[in-house]
Amino acid sequence: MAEMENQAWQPLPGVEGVKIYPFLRKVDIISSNSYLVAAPGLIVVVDPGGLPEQADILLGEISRLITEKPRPVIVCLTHVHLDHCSQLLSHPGFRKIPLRIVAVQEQGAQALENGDRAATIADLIQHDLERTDIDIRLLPAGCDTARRKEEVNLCGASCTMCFDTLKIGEGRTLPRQYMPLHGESMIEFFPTPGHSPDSICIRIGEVLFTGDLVFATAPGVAGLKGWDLKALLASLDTMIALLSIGGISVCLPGHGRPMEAQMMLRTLTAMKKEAASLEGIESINPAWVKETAAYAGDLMDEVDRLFTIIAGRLVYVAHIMDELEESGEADRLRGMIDSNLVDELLSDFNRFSLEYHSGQVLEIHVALKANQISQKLERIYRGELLGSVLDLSLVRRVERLLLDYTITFRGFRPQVDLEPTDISIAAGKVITALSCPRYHDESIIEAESEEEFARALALRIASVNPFENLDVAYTPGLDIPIALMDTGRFADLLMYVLEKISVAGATRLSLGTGTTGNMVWIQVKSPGPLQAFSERVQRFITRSGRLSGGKCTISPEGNGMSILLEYPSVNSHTQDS
Amino acid sequence: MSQSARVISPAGRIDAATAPLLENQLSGAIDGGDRKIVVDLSSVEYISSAGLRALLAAMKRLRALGGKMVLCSLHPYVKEVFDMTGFSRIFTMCNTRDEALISLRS
Repeated sequence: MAEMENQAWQPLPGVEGVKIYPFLRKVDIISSNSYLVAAPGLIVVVDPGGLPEQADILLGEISRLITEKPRPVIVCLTHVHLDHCSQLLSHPGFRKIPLRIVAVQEQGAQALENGDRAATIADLIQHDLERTDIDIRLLPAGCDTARRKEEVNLCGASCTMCFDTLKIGEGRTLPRQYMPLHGESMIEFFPTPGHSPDSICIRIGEVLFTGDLVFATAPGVAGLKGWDLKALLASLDTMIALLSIGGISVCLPGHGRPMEAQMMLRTLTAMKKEAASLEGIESINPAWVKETAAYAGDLMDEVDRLFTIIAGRLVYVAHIMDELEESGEADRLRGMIDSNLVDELLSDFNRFSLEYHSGQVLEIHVALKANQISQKLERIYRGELLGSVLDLSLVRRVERLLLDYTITFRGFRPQVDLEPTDISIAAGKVITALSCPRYHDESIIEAESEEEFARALALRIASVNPFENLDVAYTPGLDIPIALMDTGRFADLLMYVLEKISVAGATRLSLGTGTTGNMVWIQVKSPGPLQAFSERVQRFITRSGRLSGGKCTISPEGNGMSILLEYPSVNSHTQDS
Repeated sequence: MSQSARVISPAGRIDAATAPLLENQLSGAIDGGDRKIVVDLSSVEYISSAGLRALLAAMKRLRALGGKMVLCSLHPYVKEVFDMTGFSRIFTMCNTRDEALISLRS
């Protein structure tokens, strides 16, 4: 970790007489880090950020400096996402700086001038987008074709802006625009598109301001409007080359802590591998955010239910084992999951969800929060160990849910393994599993050690059958064509539906399979009313049906309800393709 | 020792944040001499494993003192959690508060 004190003036490495003031924040999408650089004749602001209180502090420092010695203030943006620049547009203090110059990469300048809500992510964070004048358009198209100089007006004083290409080894070159800062030192601008088309890196002395380059492969970031995989891979290569030739000691990212150059080099190299796996990523737009946030809510509900069942069942079995004076086994069971931590994480999400429903947080934050929580749950979840005691379907469903969300949040579609399946056999297996316990009474009798006995007993006690009072009338259809479906997902979904119907108090249900046209179907009819399934449960079933390769219709049926799942037959699929 | 049943009616969510409150309430009742407790869950829409543990701990303590605890009026989601975890097997559960009070009298 590079040493740099937050919110304090300190010498800028590599340039005598120039100081830097970093405003560092924890990583979020509300506001970026900001940096002030003070030279005797010029003040540089890199990314004013997205929070008014942050801007107040920066403006206070700027005001103090220009009172001591009046000089121009140049505001440079690493790119025009609003978390980096909304305060430039909306804070009156930035408009009031007497000698202010705004320097933005050419495409970013266009986005700001045209009020482009997608390019500035104003649409994602639901922010107003105000206009501002751009004084210097950095790195315009074709700037790398010929070395040239241009005189620009810096609030009345003339300044020479130079364009050239920098040799960065192995025959590579990097387009560069630069202007004087103090003495021999310069402010250099390098194009690094990928995260956005207007992304740039800025070098002053031994410091490289890297904007959001290191976040370009992060979930919820990769796939934003203007995100470009090919450009990103090229930018990673050029920045790796630039860092490799030396002269840079500290990298200052747009979010989070400063990094030493060597650490940045390793990070960018690792990102190249990650970036290469992002081919085919979905675009992150308001529709994606809406869909993902809704998915996050439904998913966390089900994750919550399953975790409560798992943790609760372990408490139940441990209690019985205690009663049977098998405290060693009881302790082992209690240690299988950190229920306190799980509870805290789930209530944390619930609090967040309530804030969202009361309008205090945005959809994108819900999606991010769910990702954060599901990552933590994945880390503490020991599926294999839990599977040694609990119903495997419960264990498998949790794993699948967490993985599906992580994949969706990363901007991909969850994996669906379509395979030719006899729907009647697949449904039959699920129904058999309802009445077929995992334990064998013989293993209790035949246990050869006390430990084996205790474990066999725990397995027997843990076998809670929610279908004890449910009578299933199954009528498989005749001559049904083979369907194309994700059999594992189908089995999980059918189990979920039956579980929901059973715990709602139904004592009987009918289930049948059949075929209509090119479709193969399975229908579950429950005497319980449709209202027994909340809107969320219905949405969860519909989404799971889609992920299993089919289409789900939930409708009232007499006084009860019907859940119809339809899958294409293999024949229709062959004909279509 | 109090002969009449004490009714405790938690509300909302019983999770990591609120389970200690329920625990205190139940402990307070037991410490105060209550030996017959009805936990009316009609206003509880959610229970986590922390909530289950709080109820179990109180039930065990009460039983050791010769008392009894009955749960009543479970919300469908809460009932589902009790059924799926196995807790339905260790708790006496009634549909209404009146039924719970009657069951404690017998």
